[in-house]
Amino acid sequence: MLFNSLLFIVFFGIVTIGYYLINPHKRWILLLTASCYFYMAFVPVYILILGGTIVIDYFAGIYLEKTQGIKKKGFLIASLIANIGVLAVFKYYNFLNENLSYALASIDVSNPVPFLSILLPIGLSFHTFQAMSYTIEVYRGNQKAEKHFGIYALYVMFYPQLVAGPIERPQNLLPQFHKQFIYDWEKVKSGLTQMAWGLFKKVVIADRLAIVVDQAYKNVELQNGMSMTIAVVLYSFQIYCDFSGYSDIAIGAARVMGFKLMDNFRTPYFSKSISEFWKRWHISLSSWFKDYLYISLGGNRAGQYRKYMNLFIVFLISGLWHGASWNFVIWGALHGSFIVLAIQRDKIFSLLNPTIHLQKTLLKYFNILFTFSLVTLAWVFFRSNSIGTSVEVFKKLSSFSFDDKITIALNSAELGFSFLLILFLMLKEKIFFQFEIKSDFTFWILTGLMVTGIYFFGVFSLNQFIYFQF
Amino acid sequence: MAKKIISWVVLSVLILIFIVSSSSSWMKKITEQRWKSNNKIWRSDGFRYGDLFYMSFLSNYKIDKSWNPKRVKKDSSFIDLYIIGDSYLKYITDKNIFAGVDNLMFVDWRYEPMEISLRKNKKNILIFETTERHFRERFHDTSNFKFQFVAKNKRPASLYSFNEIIRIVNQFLFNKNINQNLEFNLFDYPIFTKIKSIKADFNESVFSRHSPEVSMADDKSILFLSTTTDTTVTTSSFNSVSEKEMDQIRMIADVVFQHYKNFGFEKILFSVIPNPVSITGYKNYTYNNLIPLFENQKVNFTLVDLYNDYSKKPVLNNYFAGDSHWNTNGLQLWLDKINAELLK
Repeated sequence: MLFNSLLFIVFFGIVTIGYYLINPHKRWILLLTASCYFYMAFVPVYILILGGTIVIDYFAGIYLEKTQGIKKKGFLIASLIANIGVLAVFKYYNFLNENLSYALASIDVSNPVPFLSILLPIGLSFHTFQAMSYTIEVYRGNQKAEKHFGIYALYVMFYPQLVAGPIERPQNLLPQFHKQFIYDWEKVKSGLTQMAWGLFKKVVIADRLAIVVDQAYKNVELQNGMSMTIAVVLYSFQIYCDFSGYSDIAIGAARVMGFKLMDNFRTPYFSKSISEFWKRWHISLSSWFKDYLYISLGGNRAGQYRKYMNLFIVFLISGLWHGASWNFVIWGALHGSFIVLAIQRDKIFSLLNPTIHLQKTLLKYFNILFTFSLVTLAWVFFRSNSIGTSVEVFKKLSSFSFDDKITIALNSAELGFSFLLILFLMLKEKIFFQFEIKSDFTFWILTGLMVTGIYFFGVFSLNQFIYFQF
Repeated sequence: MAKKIISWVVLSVLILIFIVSSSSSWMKKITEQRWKSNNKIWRSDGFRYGDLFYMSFLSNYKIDKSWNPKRVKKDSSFIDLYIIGDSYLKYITDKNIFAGVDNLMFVDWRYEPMEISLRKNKKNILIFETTERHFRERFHDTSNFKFQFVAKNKRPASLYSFNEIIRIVNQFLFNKNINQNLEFNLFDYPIFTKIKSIKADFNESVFSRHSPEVSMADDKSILFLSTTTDTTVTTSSFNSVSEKEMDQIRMIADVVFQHYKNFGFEKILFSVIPNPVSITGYKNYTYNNLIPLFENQKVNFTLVDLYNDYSKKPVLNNYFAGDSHWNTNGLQLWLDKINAELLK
């Protein structure tokens, strides 16, 4: 079920009103049923895979708490294998097999391993990582095992963040399912406003920019340097509005029911370095990798070079987490390299030690622009369907050609409007980051304006959210 | 307390809307009722002002969609006429516009087959009517060909197997059309038509952008279904037809002809209604010549050609500007040709 569909609006209304009307002790039943329906609206049968991993992780959690030593480790490994195994089969099997085919073909041997004709269950990487964070935290002793099977299942399946995050930690989410939230109009207001803003970002900005981006990436050969540059820059904002829009709707929908989910974005395009960018972009994933992979690899405790290596590995795996293709691997590798190089750059810059205010300000804006440029160029690999397409895009970008006809899918008025929207987005996110609306009058005016804006300026094409594919 | 009552009422209404929108059979009934209705609050404007207007809401293409074909004077009624057709004829099932017809039976390509038994004291004539955009998919495969008229008691009884039950439950719980159904139940009322038009006109005039479901003629005089202009799909007038495919179509046509001949029909007519865009052309695309290519094949059917007649006149002579179907002129031209064949 897409957040930008009428079905979701009706579904959300039924679940939320029902949530507050029924006995608080029975709310978990309503939420779990609703979450199952939400997930099954994509491909019903995949609920069985999700159900299977939930059962395994539930019992793993209980046994992890009861046991010690090698047995305990054994239960953790079994749980991780189950989760990563599902990911491996559905997400990476065909990718690995394809590469095996290429390798064997180079020595004139045909690949005997069959390909699987399966669809990737929606949001698989998200709920798998959330489930893994539970068993790891129980193993580490930071979280008690959840004895209530329904509540544990709800922790994995809670519909607002089921298919595209934020990837929650058990310490934050599980206790909230045991609470009995009472109806709080302030939270409802705040949640609804955040949902409306998220929907605005998705259907008014992201889906409008998608028209330009999709056409450009579909017909790279028809672009000149100018139109390709526009498309590449716009993609940065498209993916931001798409994904942060989803997160806003998810966080807002949960808040209407009283839940507090973790923030996933904090104006990432105002970052002054790549490392700062990753503290502001997809926070729930980057902190997951930091907590469970980077630290497990040794973090920065084993010397400088080992730290660089660990950072690089984390970003490489982060790339693969996004998708089973070499494009994502390159994208991850690029970010890993940027981070390592940025550490070196910071060392040099700290020697310069600018003292004059103007110098500091200029340096700040230069760093923001530089970081944005690096991120934008890396997105080319993320967006392209193949490495070949990425290379073609870079060729166009480097041609700096303004000749031939410019084939931009929007007319000049709408293109101008798109840039105005981006400006508005940046100002809004920078100045009014949080949604603390005190007066009811402001709430109704603001929500009314946003809904009207969504209706009149929205591009309603039922485009999926980009991150659903992960 | 009042808040609680209001909450229960809203919840009940939402659940009711959800259940109704999930049910295909209820939606079919409600749609038909609301399309026919003249109630200014309750009615749906979906049928009234043209299907392309309904997709785009561009006010320049809002038309009064109605057909007024001439009734024919009948000296005798000696024909039982059977039609396998689509939306071009679905709403025009008055037997008095057909010459010599005593009984008219119409079945839509998309619906379940109809059981019939031919009357021996009548001349049984069958008409295949298909719009050009669906012609290729309908005549794509012999094994999947939909024989829409079947002999009485020949239709296999539907068995409620486990798989069938699962399918029905799935269809209800996860109805693929639920978003369209919700749109229809929540926002398809005359009061919203005006607002939708304001939005559509604004987007068209400022951003030159309209619903992706429609394409606009180069001179903006008429709308087309995008599926007829998109070169990548077989419904398009500009998606090329190979010789092999045309052979396949002819072969299936022969099988179908023989089937219905054996069924007992004395005469079988075949008519492909051109896509409006096949008549006008679009951008610099090349027409795939589907109709002329088919009509040049040696088939056993009696072909009723419209393409050549329609091509001689401006497109709006025979089609609506805001609807994908023929207008009264276009329909009348077809009827004149059909009636001439019926009386032969």
